[in-house]
Amino acid sequence: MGGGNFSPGFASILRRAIQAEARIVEPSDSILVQRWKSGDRQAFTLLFRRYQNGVFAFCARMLRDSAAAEDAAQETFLKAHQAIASLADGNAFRSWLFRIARNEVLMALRNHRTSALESAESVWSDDDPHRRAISEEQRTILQTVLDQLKAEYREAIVLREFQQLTYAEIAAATNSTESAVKSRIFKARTALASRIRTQFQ
Amino acid sequence: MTCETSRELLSALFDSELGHDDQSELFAHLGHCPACRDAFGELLALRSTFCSTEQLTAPASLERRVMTQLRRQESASILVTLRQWLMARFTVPAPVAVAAVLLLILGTLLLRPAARNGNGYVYVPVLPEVEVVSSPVINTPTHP
Ligand SMILES: [Zn+2]
Repeated sequence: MGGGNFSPGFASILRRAIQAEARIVEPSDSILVQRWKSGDRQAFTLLFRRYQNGVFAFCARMLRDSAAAEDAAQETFLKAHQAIASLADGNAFRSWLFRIARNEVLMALRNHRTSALESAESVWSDDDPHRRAISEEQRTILQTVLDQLKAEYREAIVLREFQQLTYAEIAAATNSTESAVKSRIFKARTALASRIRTQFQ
Repeated sequence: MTCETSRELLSALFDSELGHDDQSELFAHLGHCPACRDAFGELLALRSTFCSTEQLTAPASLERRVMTQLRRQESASILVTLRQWLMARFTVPAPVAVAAVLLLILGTLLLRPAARNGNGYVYVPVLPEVEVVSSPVINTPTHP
């Protein structure tokens, strides 16, 4: 008897639940890239908001300077906007974006005389770790030892641990191979762990 | 398996980048190597250090800067596009466009099979014969 009353109510609950679900599920990178390519400004804004912290954090951890990181992040998004038509696979957006960010970082490092990509032997960077403007409360022992890593090790471990990129994505972003990425991450971890150990002793 | 190899595999395991075969080899090694088990503990500690490290967030000014810059670039590029469009419209001479269309039509007609006569296609040689050719195809269906 109550079935007639129940089912429209249930249907509306269901409809509302589905609508709520639709609101929660965010469009994938590749869908947004598609919309962005066809001139949808909102799609660009959504992707910008999705990745601005990641790109900024990557630049900041690489450059150790908030202002330089903001400049690099801005250039990254502007260049991405100019070049989006050249991105064939929207699923590769993340690694493509970090590749642009990395180029900006390397350019900034080069301009700062301190290219940390020189001598191949050591894991540690030769440049001065005191030139940095990231605020003190954001600094930890980890960040301090991270700062001492050479750029090629730092970028790999930062993209892995803070941005959760896969080895394949890191290889694409850093113009490298998966096995090189695997080895760099391993060496970076070994070096970080040992330095953290000595800092505590 | 050497300890060096085992440590590298251990690191890959932490990133879910280790295949099944490597995994079982690694676990076999860990079973009888206390040093590598210590290394595992150290990696675990390092991972939790990364997880507890504060994520850096972009300053609010970044979005403002990017969007302002984009609007500036866009209004500049709209002007460029408009100029290109106008130039394309009014500097290509009309006879060139007409000739291109005629050439296209002619090309299609020249390659069009007109009729079968046993040894292949008969091609329409020139434009004026187009009207003549289209009817024989229909009028001579039983021609051998
Ligand atoms: Zn071992």
